[in-house]
Amino acid sequence: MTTYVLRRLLWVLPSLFVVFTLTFILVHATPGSPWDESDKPLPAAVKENLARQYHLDDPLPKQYIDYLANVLRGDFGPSYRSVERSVSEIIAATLPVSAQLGLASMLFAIVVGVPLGALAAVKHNTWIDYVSSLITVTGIATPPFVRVSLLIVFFSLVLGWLPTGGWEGIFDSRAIIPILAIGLGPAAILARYTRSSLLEVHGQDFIRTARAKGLTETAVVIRHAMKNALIPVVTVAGVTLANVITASFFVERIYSVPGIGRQFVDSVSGRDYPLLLGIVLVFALLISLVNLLVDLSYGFLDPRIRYR
Amino acid sequence: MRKLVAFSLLVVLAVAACTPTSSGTPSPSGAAKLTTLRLPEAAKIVNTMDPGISSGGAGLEQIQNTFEGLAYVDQVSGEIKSGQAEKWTISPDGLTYTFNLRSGLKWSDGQALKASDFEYAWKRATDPATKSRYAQTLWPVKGAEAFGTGKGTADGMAVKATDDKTLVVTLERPAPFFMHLAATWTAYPIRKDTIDKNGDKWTLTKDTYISNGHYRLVEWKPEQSMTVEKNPNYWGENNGPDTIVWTLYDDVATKSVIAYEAGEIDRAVLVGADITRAKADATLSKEIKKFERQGSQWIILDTTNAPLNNVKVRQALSLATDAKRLNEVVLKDAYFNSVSIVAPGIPGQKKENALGFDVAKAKQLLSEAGYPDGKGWPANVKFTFASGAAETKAIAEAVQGIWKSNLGIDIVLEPMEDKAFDNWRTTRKDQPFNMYVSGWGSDYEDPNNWYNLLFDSKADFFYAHWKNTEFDNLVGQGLKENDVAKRKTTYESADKIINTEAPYITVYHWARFDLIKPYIQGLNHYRVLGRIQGYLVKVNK
Amino acid sequence: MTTRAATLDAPVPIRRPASLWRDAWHRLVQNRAAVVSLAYIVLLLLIAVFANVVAPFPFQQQDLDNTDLGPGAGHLFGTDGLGRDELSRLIYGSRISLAVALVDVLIVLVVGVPLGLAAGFFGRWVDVLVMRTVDVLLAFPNLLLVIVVITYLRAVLDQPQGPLLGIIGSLDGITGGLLGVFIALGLVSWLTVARLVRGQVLSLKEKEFIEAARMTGAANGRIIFRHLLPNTLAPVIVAATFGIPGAIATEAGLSFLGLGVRPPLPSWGILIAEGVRNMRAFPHELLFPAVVLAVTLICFNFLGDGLRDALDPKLKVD
Repeated sequence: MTTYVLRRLLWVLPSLFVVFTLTFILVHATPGSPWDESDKPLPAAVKENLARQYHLDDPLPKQYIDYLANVLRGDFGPSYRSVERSVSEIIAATLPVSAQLGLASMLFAIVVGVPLGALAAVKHNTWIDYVSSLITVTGIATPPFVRVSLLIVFFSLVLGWLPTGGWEGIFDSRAIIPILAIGLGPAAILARYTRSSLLEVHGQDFIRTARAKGLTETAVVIRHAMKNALIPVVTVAGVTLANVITASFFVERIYSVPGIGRQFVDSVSGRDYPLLLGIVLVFALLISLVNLLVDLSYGFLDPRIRYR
Repeated sequence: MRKLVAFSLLVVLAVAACTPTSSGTPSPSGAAKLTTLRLPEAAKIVNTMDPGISSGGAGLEQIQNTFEGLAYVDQVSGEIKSGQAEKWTISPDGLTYTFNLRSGLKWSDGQALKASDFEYAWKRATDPATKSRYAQTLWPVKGAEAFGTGKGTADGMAVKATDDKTLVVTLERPAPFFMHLAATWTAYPIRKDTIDKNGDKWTLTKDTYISNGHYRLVEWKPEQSMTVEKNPNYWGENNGPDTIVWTLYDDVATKSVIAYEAGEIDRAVLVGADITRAKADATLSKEIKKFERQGSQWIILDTTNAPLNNVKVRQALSLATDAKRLNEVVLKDAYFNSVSIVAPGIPGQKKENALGFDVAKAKQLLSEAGYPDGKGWPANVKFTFASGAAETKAIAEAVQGIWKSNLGIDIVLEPMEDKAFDNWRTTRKDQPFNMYVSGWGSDYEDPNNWYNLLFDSKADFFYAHWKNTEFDNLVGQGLKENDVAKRKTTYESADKIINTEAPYITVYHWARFDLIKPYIQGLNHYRVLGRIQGYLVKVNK
Repeated sequence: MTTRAATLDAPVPIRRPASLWRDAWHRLVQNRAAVVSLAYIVLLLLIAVFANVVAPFPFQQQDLDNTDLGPGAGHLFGTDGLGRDELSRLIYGSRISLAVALVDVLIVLVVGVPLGLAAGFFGRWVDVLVMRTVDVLLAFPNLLLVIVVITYLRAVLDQPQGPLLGIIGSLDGITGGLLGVFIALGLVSWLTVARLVRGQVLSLKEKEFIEAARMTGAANGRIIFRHLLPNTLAPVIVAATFGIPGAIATEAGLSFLGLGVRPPLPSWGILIAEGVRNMRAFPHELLFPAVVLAVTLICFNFLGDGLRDALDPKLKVD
């Protein structure tokens, strides 16, 4: 077990390295520079100095090695577009916001999605099942940017309950709309998977045994079926992280949340490569670690799975 | 389990209902009621809040409210007025400007402001090591261009503080528009000690962002908001609001309207369908305000490759473009209808020179050019555009349809990701294309800023690759001409040529379309580089 | 020895699949929600194929005298900002959106499921390779790759050289500029399913019936296709149906950036994205495409549920 975890942790490094290298190659192949201002071109001398300052005039392999060395030392370099803040400072300021938002959204998704899915499975093929399907599918059918726009119009303009945007911490009313907008997608996904894998285990022998013992349906679901049904659900919970990250791109932008997702979009559209590389590495690390946690949880849920 | 669902929904709703939805700063009740002006701004401050480096765009309004130059452009009349300089004298040859600073000038932290602060700022902005995005503004100063291109030195730049209150500037050659340049943000004074101490980070905090204008920085939360308060050390009066708060949005046009209607901000930017909605709305329709901006938006044609190298084809396309409906219907009247290539108000611009809209004539010309009813029209004439801008996409789609029905020709729409488009556009300098959309707004109200800077074949700012010797000669004469009336007629002749040759098709002239709360007075956008000046605004709330 | 040969040879592969599919079909048609959904999807496919016959107007036909009309007699679903018929644009848009959905499902089935099976079943370096690739791709800024490929491609396609570029170019042309969307989907849409299937396989692998199959000496391929694959079907179907809205949203996002379908060609994603911008002034421009998309997805889900139930080998015992 310990060796398995250690080995998996060791694998994170080459993964990050591959992500870093591929992204580096890609950003230098992408057309457009951070300084192609749309109408007024920069004087040649200024452009040269900018290139020199950011070492863009060095040969690519040298840039790559220098940058890699800096990153290994924990220095992501300056942001091209925000001269007053370094990449590390931007990430340090924005990552906690997105982390809070992401965790709250996941929590919301689990608290709403899993029970909703279980309910649908227990009442399989009844109107409750159909209504639950309808809710979850409608949740996933509206893309995040539509979802957040509709939520803003509804809660801020029609009802006048919530501010139209901004961020004052996770316990402020400004967090509600982004949490809903990000969390609804994963909630729908979790509900569907819970339903389908509960149905899957429903017909199996040990459930029938449990029923035969005279346990109530709820006890059967919670004590026996649920645990076995959780494997795909947990897997999805890991994968929904990607879903949460993607949704945060749109939601943070539209709701003016100063998070890392918004910085990611800006860094791509503004060609702020050091910032982009920094954020991509953060995402890669996060995804690798969460997937490791997910793999470990298989073992807890199903002792038959062994780690080699 | 059902209970759990119900409960979690209930929690969300309860939190939503109970949390107070306070917005803005609550004004303390008391004798002196503090006023706040709440404005929208784009989240991504362009480049920096450093006036010496900024190229304008988002961030300029904040810079202009916190700093002041030797002179400023009055935002109502457009006249040059004295700012930090009490007066200035110009030598008879028009080359030497001597500025006398007001006495008792102070920085926002209370330290005395000296003429040497200007000298430092001007030389710093010109120094290529500063990497100013707007350095050329000061290039008319003697020795500045050489310094800025790495051929000269700071000492060679003819700007000198002869004492604490006198700044002497010598120009390379006479420039009638120089006071406009001296009023530009690039020429604002800057405090050397804060830059030496804090480097690029000097713009970030209240203590380091030392300024000399009507307001001073209180707080800048990147990508969230920027707050300024009245600067007690400003030399003059300031009857504006006590504080100004800018909320920063990624998509100002979409988000500011919603925040405005929710009562969170006092001004909104209107575009597209929201204009139609606001006009039909009982309340909003009274709060609409449309301001002129001296600018033009064009479809730019490459005049060097077929079929657009044929002047008749260009004229036909221009005559068949129903620009009035493009603005009024497709763009929901967000702008002002097309008049001619150069924006109205620039000396030389004459609306009679424009080709106008005439489908019959357009068909005739297209047929003369060898494409009767569009027959034989090449298959891959491309209209390239940056698809991030919804309006440009709408223009491209609409023009495709309009030309198809008016002339029977097909064009191909070529959308590009925004930065890829920027890159594509920059490389058009020496590469062929067919057409794309771009525009220009006056930096100062002078024909030089248009005919010479944009259209002269030596400048060819938009890479239309259009060259007309007569036009080049005329605008060259105009630049040197000192007689105002003669200058105007010279540019008018040039205006006639460019409109007839049609390297550009005007889609509309620029505007600002705002919603402004009824308790706000004096909020104005001047037509040239207009930004909201807080000291002119009254908040009667 | 002989008995094993008898049970494993001739009769099994011939008879059982036939009855499996027949049984499945039987169960499917008994599920009313699934039947209605199937009918809707078939109808939608027909509409997409015969869009030029069904649509009342050409999708690009503008009418600047009648822009932003609400639903009415002349235009059942109203018109958009250029006076184009919304219904016709929805009908033509179904082509793009269904094509995108189809490609997404194909990628899930052809790439995601086999890789997940292999990773879970063989473990060791196969598992490491597949799962680390998934990690990398999840974190990778795919958007950049799409920008690079599309921008270079379109620049090169102006002067197509060589057969390869010609083929790629005509592919991009035929699909109306969807190549970027397909690349993006190819990179990401199989990741979820691969992880999911792997997780299932890990748990199934240790179960008695797999052990039993192994004891009887069944080959790896047989274990995978006969025993593991059918048992991973449930999450695969859900994943496939859920991938569709993601794929349609991806298409909308990329088209919005100018990396997808070439205007004035419509897709549902584009119609929704444009509708959101106008939703307060002209709600119908968001309402119709959003409702059509939602209904379609609900039908895909109900059909998926029906298929799952129908194909579930365990339900047969009951």
